Amino acid sequence: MKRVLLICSVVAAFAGCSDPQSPGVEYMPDMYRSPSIEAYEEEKLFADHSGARMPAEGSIPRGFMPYQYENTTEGYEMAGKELKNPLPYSEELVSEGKEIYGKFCVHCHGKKGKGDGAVASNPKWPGPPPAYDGARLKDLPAGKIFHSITYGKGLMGPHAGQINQEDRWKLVYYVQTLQGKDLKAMQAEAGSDQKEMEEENKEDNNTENQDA
Amino acid sequence: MSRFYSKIGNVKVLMHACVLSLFIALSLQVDAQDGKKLFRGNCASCHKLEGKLVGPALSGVQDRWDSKENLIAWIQNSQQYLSDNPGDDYAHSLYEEYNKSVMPAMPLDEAQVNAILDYIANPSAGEEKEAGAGDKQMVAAQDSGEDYTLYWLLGFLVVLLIVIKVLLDVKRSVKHLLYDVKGDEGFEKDGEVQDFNWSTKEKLQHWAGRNKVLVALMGVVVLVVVLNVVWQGLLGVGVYQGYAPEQPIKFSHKIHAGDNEISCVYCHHAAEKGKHSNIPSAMLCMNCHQGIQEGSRWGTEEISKIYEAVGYNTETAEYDKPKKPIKWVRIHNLPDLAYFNHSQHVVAGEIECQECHGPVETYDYPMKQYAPLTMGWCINCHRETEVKMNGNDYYDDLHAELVEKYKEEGIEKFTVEQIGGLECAKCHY
Repeated sequence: MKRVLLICSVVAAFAGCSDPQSPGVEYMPDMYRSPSIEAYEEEKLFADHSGARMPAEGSIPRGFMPYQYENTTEGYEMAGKELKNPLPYSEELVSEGKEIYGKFCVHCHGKKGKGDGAVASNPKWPGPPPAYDGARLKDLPAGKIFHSITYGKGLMGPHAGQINQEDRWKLVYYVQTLQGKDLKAMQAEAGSDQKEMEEENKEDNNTENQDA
Repeated sequence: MSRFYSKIGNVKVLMHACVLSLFIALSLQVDAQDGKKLFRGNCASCHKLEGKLVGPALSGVQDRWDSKENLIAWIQNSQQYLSDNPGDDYAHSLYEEYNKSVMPAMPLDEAQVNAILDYIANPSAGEEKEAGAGDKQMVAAQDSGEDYTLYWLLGFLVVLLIVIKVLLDVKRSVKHLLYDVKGDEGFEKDGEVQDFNWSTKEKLQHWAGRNKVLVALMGVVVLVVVLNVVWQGLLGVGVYQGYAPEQPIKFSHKIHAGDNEISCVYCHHAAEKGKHSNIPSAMLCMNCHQGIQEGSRWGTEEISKIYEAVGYNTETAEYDKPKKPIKWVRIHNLPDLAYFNHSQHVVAGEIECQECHGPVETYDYPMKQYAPLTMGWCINCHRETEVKMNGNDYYDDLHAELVEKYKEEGIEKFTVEQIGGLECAKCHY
């Protein structure tokens, strides 16, 4: 009887590998579970036991320029008036923006920015976002688009943690094409006649102010 | 005759009345439907009927305002309304209460706003039909969900066992009968044995003595099976393939990446930027789950765990509760002696997530490890995978160099092996 039990336990030990709750047998587990802190590991040193810590308040990563507008209504308006896309326009940037859009925006805003993405059309979702080329958003200036991606707007959450500033500006170019803007013409105008561009921007902002 | 005509006249009047009432009913329904559509399109991304979302709950909004005209003016352009009516304390206090966040001006005319207000006042109008259809679908889904194959197999097995038992009993009875007829001598003559009082062990020994070749063969088979099991077990040491532990939140990749078509890197965005791919922070969940507060399978049970983690209060719509990190259970784990970089594979190598992680968008809860993540598996892929160098500017210089180097051997396509993917120090240093 003892022998039978022994055989059973050996078989069970090997069969244990297929138990989805267990990672299986480990030979020299210290090679897998190193004493150094791995990403996201539990760390009893801290009160909440979370090994992933927030950086000290006010710390700025090397080579990083913090976004200078605050997450307030005033900040939003200021960004709309003052912020310009620092990346010189090129079609390549727009197509890169399109790629980023496909990863971070399309599931809510939809392929053409009509607010008909898979998440937004899910009946559980409270309400779809407005269309980029609709009355509410088609004249939204670049700065406000950037500000909204950074801090979020309404039900849309902040995306600054997922998309870095350069990628956000590429996105702005692509969103502007979805607004129906002729970026090439805008850029050419900016190059040939700076003043005219500024006036146009003023007009843009005025209509937007009425909106708000 | 005249009575007949008057009857027809009556019928006509009746028909007209019917058609008219039908029209009225239909137009009313259209109104309610429009209101619902308009509400969903313009208001629902910030307001719910019950409970705060981004803005206040809208149920009973008309009672909170002095006049409907003011309310309509507010909805159409709240900023304009505030500057036009500095004396409206309610409107100003509302603006202050929500941290001066502006409700955008709505390009809606008065009739549309009225339709929305009607819908808010009576949201259930025109909904009964939809609810009925939904129930039917549910029933249909349940019907097709059952699978009886296992029950059939079990039933068949039970029947088989009963048949075997009956046959053995019959054989035994026949032997008893034969013994009664033939006696000891008759049995001996026919080469049969009287084993009625033998123990099972004695019976087995007797049978083995008469079938030596068969027993030897069986011994070999058993030995091979046991060795194979041991060998497979040893090969599985340290391999996590198929590991699918319970997680603190019953998160379904199928619902998120499959049904709702959310790209992998929306949540695991660091896979393109760094060595590690990231487990999304619970705040990232809030990008969608501030809006979606109830899941289709576990209701509010699982989603409320996100709110606990980030300290979100669904009643005040603010992050005013204590935070509590989620203890996810790690699945994929490479030993420290091996270096692996996600961005190298995802960006430069242009490898789809699914090639190593499997069709995750079809995996329901819990998530499992698809690949063995052994060295042999890595090496195999490095030997077979052709590097996508064309149109990938990361490889521009290297490509030209390799073309030159392998010109004589006539190799034009390069695998990871040819760019040094098998060298020890690439991964172990």
